Amino acid sequence: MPYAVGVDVGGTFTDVCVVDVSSGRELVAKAPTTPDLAGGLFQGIGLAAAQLDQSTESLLAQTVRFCHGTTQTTNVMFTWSGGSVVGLLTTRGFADEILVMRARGRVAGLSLSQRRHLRATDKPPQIVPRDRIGEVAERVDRLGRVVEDLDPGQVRQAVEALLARGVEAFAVSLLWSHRNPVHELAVRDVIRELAPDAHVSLSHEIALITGEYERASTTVVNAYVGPALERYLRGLERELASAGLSVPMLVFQAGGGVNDVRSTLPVSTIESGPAAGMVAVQKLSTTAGRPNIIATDVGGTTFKVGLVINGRWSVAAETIINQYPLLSPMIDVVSIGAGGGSIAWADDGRLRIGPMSAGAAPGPACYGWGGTRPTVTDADLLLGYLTAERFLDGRLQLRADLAAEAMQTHVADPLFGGDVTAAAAGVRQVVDSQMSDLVRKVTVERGYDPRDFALAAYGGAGPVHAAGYARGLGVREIIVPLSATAYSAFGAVISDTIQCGQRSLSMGLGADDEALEQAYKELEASARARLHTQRLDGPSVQVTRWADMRYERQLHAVRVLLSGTDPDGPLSSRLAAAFQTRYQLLYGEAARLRHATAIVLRIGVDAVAPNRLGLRETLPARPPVRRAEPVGRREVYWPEAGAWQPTAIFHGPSLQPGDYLAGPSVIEQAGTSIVVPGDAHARVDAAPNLIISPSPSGDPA
Amino acid sequence: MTHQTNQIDPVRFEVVWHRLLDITEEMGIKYMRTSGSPILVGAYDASTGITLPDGQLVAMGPYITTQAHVLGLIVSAVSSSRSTHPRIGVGDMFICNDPYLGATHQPDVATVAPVHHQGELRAWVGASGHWLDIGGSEPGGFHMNARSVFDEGLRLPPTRLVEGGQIREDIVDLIMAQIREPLAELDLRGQLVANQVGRDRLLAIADEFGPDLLTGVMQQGIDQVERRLRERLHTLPDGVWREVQYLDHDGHERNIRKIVCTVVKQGGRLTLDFAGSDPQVDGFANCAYGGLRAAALSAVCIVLGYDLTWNDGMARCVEIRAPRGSVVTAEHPTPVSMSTISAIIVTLNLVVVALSRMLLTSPRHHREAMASWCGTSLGVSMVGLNSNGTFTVAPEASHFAAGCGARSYADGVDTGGIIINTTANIPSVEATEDAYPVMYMFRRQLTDSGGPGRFRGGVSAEVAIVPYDSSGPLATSFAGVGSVTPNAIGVAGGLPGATVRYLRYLGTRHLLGNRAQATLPGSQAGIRGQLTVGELNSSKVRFDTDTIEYHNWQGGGGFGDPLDRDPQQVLADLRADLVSRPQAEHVYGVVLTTDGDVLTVDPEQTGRHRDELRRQRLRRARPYREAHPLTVPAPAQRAGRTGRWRYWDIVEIDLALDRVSCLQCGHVLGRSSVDFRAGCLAEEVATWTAGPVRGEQYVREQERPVVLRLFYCPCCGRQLEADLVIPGQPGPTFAVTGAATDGEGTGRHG
Repeated sequence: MPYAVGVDVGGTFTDVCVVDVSSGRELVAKAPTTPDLAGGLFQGIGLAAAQLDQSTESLLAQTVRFCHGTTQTTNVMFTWSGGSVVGLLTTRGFADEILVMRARGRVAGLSLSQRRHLRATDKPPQIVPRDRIGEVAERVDRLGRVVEDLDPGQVRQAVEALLARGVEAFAVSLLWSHRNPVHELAVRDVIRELAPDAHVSLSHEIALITGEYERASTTVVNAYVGPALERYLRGLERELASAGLSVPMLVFQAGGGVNDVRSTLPVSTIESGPAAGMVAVQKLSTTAGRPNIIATDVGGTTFKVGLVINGRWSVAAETIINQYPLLSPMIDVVSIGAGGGSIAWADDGRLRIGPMSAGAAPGPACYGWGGTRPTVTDADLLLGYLTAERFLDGRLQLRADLAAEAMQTHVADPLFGGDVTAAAAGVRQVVDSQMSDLVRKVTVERGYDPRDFALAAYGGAGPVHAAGYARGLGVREIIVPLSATAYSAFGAVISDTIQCGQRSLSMGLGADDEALEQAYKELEASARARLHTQRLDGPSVQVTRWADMRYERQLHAVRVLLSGTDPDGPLSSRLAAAFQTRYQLLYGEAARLRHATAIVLRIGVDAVAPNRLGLRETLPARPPVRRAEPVGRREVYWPEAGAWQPTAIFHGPSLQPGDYLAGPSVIEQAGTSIVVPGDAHARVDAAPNLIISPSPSGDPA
Repeated sequence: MTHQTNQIDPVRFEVVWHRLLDITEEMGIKYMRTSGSPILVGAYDASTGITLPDGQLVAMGPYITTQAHVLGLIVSAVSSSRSTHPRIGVGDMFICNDPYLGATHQPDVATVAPVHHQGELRAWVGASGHWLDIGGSEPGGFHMNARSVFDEGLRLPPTRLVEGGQIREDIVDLIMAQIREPLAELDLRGQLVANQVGRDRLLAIADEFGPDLLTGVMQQGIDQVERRLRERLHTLPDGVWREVQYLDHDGHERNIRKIVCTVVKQGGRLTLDFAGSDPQVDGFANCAYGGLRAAALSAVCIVLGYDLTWNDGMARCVEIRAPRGSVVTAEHPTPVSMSTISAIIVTLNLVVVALSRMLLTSPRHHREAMASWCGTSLGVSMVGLNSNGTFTVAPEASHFAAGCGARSYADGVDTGGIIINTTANIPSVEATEDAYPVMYMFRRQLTDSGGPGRFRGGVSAEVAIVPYDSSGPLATSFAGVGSVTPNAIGVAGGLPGATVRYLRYLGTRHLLGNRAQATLPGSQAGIRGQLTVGELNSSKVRFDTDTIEYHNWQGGGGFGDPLDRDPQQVLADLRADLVSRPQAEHVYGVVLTTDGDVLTVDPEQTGRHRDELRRQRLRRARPYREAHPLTVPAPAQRAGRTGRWRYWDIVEIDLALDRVSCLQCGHVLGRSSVDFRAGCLAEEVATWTAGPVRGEQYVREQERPVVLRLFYCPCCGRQLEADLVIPGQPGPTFAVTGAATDGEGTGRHG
């Protein structure tokens, strides 16, 4: 039987999702992530295979698609260990650009409260210190004209000097190389000659965009994480092959697609886990017929928000990782430090949540691992949302007494006259309200109104709180995928192969349509060629053209999409129309410009080779509705009602498509609960997803 | 701990409070998205805020701190001048950029809107931002030649721009008719959009929770910050800290003017008294009271309120006193259009240093102290025609990558930003070259520009630019201060960072058309041409296509005696081009040897060399009391308490024994009521003793408008302070006068 296997190696768990391609049936397995990553991966596959009564070898032998999302490069970036000794070659006069970091580096990606503590801000550790940066005499101008020729002899000296300092990976980032790469290519030739085995990242190949600092940063990070990733992937590929896998391993990238190992851009694998979750949400959007979805993923320490608009995710203009900007394509997911492990504390009469987190160690007080500070998860347990004896299928017995003690000491006594329930309810309300504010900000910042969206909730603490943080947003409904525990692995397995290409242009719209068309064609040809090397081509490849545009002298660029088949009118008028629509949407009527010209800053193509698995393309017919049977009933405290109320408890894995239930209810899942408040009801669709909506009489919005 | 009796339920408080902070951010998002101006979006030169009906600031957005602090004054100005005519009605908005009524300078235009709930005024919301242009003779708003405010472009008193929800398009047209940059209309409309969003969301809170709860939360949010700051002040000893800073250019000529601030801390109160500051000048370098207040409060927020919500709870703990008509309280019609990059930023850094010295008297707070960041800022623009003949104004904003002040445990951040901006940012070289007819020859961190110290100040940077693909020559306007005075002063023996320098190399032959003729200069040393030193505050200077213009800006101040710096760190700086070899040897006293190709520290020679340098200090210096008797501070009034403090690791102050002693060698420097400087040996040296680019390009041979007054322990020769002073005039002083009321350990009154 043909199987598709998706593996997502996260920081704590390695998730495996196996799909029986002929039936569409899915199963998931979870194993602890091991330091070498491969151990946990094989253990996870073994557990999945066991569920099919098979051996790892026999599962792999029947695998027709193997997709891997890895945390390897993310780990290198967040621990600053395991990366290469990188040397940077740049245009003479500009060696310090990567160190100046446009002055942004001191605060890039930091929260407001971190930025306001000026004294405590610093630039991040230098991936290339000044003595591993070499300057080469050369200059190209903004139009790509060579102003000063490159001197190969001088390049040779610079490369030799870096090699003498132990450099094993080269990043080459020259001014305007994205407009004319001739000098970068010549530098590469010199490196190849002097150090044939060294890794070389050329900026015009990694990030073809204007902005020497961002281009260099992306290139340097690519060189830093690249060699280690390549070693890891090649090793893993060999192990998988010897264990029976006969198809090439595909690597999931943060841009939302997979590629074979050779075509994988290392920098694009950083933070690919959340992106894989977004791929799964996009699938959900298509199959559930909800074009606009706010995806929310609440983990132990982070709260992640992403948007699917008209059935598409969007790509972030730039992503900041450890204060370094990366301009490789990455799905736009905003991450904020708030989650089940966030610590509640009394601050001079105020009830504060976070920013400190109990994380996985010592964990919430109720885990009994030594944590004594009350967390959001402790509040959830105290209010009856979590079932102490069946958390993680009973593998972790939660300790309500420890949760109560922590809540009593740190929150109830100082703020609530000793009332532990009031304290826990307060913690829950405050954290829900703050998450709601954050979702709202992310949505509004991108020019959208949350009321036009459904909200998807996954991750450990998402479904427990979704009803709370959705309340103030006015979203139409909440969707909780019932298979949400390995959502990123599922996203990886269903993802398509994507090759992107982009180029900075900076030309007035309509100035030269032919040149624009030509540039698109070149990008498309190059993306198709890269798919071709993976034996993916033909009519099924879909190409989307996009452009980043703005008005002259304005700073905000707006990304507009053109569907490749739209035949009407010249390119520039189609772009102009798309731009105006989008601009109005984002900035409103007030931002009207009387006589401004639109400028095309950057164009790009996404060439997508669909995965052909045909999974979940459409939902089965709507199942007959039936009332779900609770497995029990207990008192749960509902802050909206301000009271303990008898609440039906359901067993999540037993719910079937068509099941219907009314709030107030709690649905137990492994490691989480889904909360349905009293003014809402829920039904299970065919996927199966649990869809929570306001009851006809109630008004959760 | 004191708690109010009518506490709001903590859950409701937290929910509403978080939403209020969020609203200030949403206002900013809408503002910037509408405006799209490079100044706003690229440099976040804007602010948003919510105030009580009387103008007390409740919360501000994450942008330019100084601009947020003026919103309250603008609200007060609107209330006092427009309540009866034309009246303040539901749905109105008022615009104002009058610097004598609160605005920092004219380009920073503010719009404020009353928030009425069911007819009752509950709050104001406001947005302020640096507009692309404000009319007048200079594009961009810095009016170098101004002799009065009438030379400085459009000045708007509180003007009703929106009437009952309707935009007065006639007033919009009136404003836009004064301004050369049509895109500034988007700045204006962005502010209106921001206020509308802020108002709508505040009203939604009032509807959901009741207007009284909204009012209660806003008041309690201010009360709480006040209480927290007072508690923090109580943990510090009482005392008096005097600081002096300088404006070295008035807009027309070099001309050193003092800004003096005396900080008195008593219990939970701070007084900042600017008595002794020089009279206003008739150029644009002054600031008015609104700018002074914004600078002082921003410094309090940054140094003492780093973990609190930034609102007027802090202002309640601070009294600002200032004589009228000084450089920091200029009065109508004295020009002030450069204030943000001159008097305001200089004052802000001055107060940062004064408060940092205060923090250094309590070990609990040592980590929060900072030396001065880059002390000034610049306004540089190049105007001309690009290759297709269109007029263009090219701003050069690299100077926002300035050196940060050193800390008590670490170096200042190199090229990390200026202190007034919460979110630093400079344009990339390629973005500037793409948009304007210029080419950069280099942009480098400037070696030796960080103030030397045991912890080094952050370095600044330097750029060199040539016209490129332009139709003929460009013209450069260069506004700023700080070419003579190294304003980024050090603390506890640390030395100042580099000064501003503007150089013009004429008749260069590096580039002919679009081809390099000789090798392009990758550094200042490589430029071939006739060097002339450019004056600051020169307007529209011809910038020929064979001229290379160069400028650098100020580095951060250092922390501690440079001879105490770990020699390995000096070596690391040398390898990173942050420090030169002469600087390493002469200022840091590190002896280096070459082992093959590798440079290493010779520890023994370094120890001996440093000892010798200390001995030389003691030979050169004279007792301060004898050398500069008129500048020695008088004894401070003692509160009669006992207690012992450590001023970082510099001196111990023992009130009970009435003595101050050097913490390195134990030498008794004098009585506890007198500034320890009085017991030191002192010498006055040229500012460039601290390193190159410390003003030497801008003074004549024997001229010493300012000097470094260095104070050494007479016994061990350690450098205890390094003050920037006018020769013969008093400098910074401090004296602890009483115990912390809530101090720990030795500071506690038994």
